[in-house]
Amino acid sequence: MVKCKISFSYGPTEFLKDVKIEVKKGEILAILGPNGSGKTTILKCIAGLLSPKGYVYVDGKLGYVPQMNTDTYPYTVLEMVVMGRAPYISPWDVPSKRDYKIAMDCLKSLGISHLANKPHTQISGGELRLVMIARALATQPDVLLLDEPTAYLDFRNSHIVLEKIKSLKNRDIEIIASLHDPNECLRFADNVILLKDGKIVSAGKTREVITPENIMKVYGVKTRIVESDGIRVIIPEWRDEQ
Amino acid sequence: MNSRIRYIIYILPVPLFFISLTMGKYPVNFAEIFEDCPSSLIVWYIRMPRILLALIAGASLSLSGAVLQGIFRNPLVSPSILGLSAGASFGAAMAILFFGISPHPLAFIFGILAVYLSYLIAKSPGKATRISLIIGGIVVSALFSAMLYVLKYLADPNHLPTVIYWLMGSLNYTHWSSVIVIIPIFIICFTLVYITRWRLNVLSTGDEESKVLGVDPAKWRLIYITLSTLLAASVTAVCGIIGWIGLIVPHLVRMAFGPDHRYLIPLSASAGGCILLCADDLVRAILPYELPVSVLTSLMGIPFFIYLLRRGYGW
Repeated sequence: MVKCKISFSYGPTEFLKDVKIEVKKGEILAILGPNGSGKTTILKCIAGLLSPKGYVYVDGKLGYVPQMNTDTYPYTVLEMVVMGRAPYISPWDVPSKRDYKIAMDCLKSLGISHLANKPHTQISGGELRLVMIARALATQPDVLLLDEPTAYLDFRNSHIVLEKIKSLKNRDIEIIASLHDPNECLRFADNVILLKDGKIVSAGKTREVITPENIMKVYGVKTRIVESDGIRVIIPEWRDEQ
Repeated sequence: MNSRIRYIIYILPVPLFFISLTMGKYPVNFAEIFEDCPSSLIVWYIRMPRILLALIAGASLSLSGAVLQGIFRNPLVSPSILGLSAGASFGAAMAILFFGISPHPLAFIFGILAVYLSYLIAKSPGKATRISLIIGGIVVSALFSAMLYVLKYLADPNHLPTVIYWLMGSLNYTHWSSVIVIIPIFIICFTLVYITRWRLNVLSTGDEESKVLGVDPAKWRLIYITLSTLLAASVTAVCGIIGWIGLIVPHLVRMAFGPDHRYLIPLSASAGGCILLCADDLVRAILPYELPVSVLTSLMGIPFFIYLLRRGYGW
């Protein structure tokens, strides 16, 4: 379980203001908001990379998938994923056979075990995102934090990544993901927190949060909900004078 | 296949050691080594310490480079990046020119002092990040180079050649005394790096990633900088500045066997020892004039580096 109430400031001005978050087992929470609204900052506060005011309570192990990958040496995919075992490996030890097996299982569960021996620098962006998720899974987390898992991915790859993440729900993992597309939230999240300028505009069940009124408030775009076969989509309405 | 080549590299120093004993301006065969004759004296008192030093110095420099390249996530980093060479040069010059003593202790002390200064400068804004460390190293190198020029300018011209010759690192005039000092430092540092080598994989993927995985980047960086500085400073104090080994050997190993530090660390140490020993054998036994070995390592290093650049590896 994750429970937190955080305020955070970069320098003198307060950036996040009393952001309350609560996630329970088997739930996917999406954090939605425009660029610079504080999505990444919230995730970093929960991951312990930034120290906010307020409190962050995390029950269990954390896995974190950052938005951008740092440039590093061309480790193979398996070598990258086995690093997720670091919390369990003492400093004077190297990963055991069992650690490699767990890493391999994580690759299999995401359907990318065929990449195991490729340098991670030579695979596609979508594959790399899945590798980083596999690495977070190798930590066997109770809570998985995903920072914009679909950023820079094409249509097909974002679909694959989201479906794989959704399939993790069955494993009793709580998932908090920042997203930038309201439609991805509709398809994928149980609950949504809608952010603007570091403040929560609306929070709750996805279908209650993603409404044309709220989207207008946050993005300043006029939208319309379209529903077909129980699937909801939100689309912008453009006026000619724009 | 790969693992067989790895084992060959691990044991390669042993045959090279014995072959090198027989090589030299005065050829000696194996049987003579254990006999009571002049040639066995040459082997025991002149060649053996030098050959051991070449192996350990090469291994230390290359190990130090491999560790630093890991924590700085940059294949261009070498032991001199944090000001070590500049500090050691200044210390050695001061010892020779002003105190008229052996340059080894002061070179060692000032080498370490320079790295420590770089670290303090890097830490002054709060946390020592990898960029601030590199900037600290540049500043400190500039400081000690400037002070070295002052020393050279003020120095008695008769002593100047000694300094200049020391600055060109070489393994001539190796005594058992320096080999005995350097062996325990190498063994301790190598063991510590070797047992913790997998942490370097995690560290080299970035600070935030490491932190989330429970590996404190600031703490481990300090540990690894300390170990690699001790390794490189002890070699520099004994042999002078031997460049390029620390930069290129880890590179070669990474190209051949991949970046996993589980293998990179022991392979770099072994290969570094072998390469410096071969280079020293070349200047000692094969070339008509005995050049400082650092000249040879640089001459070998430069074309190799241009090749790497053209190949676009790692950048």
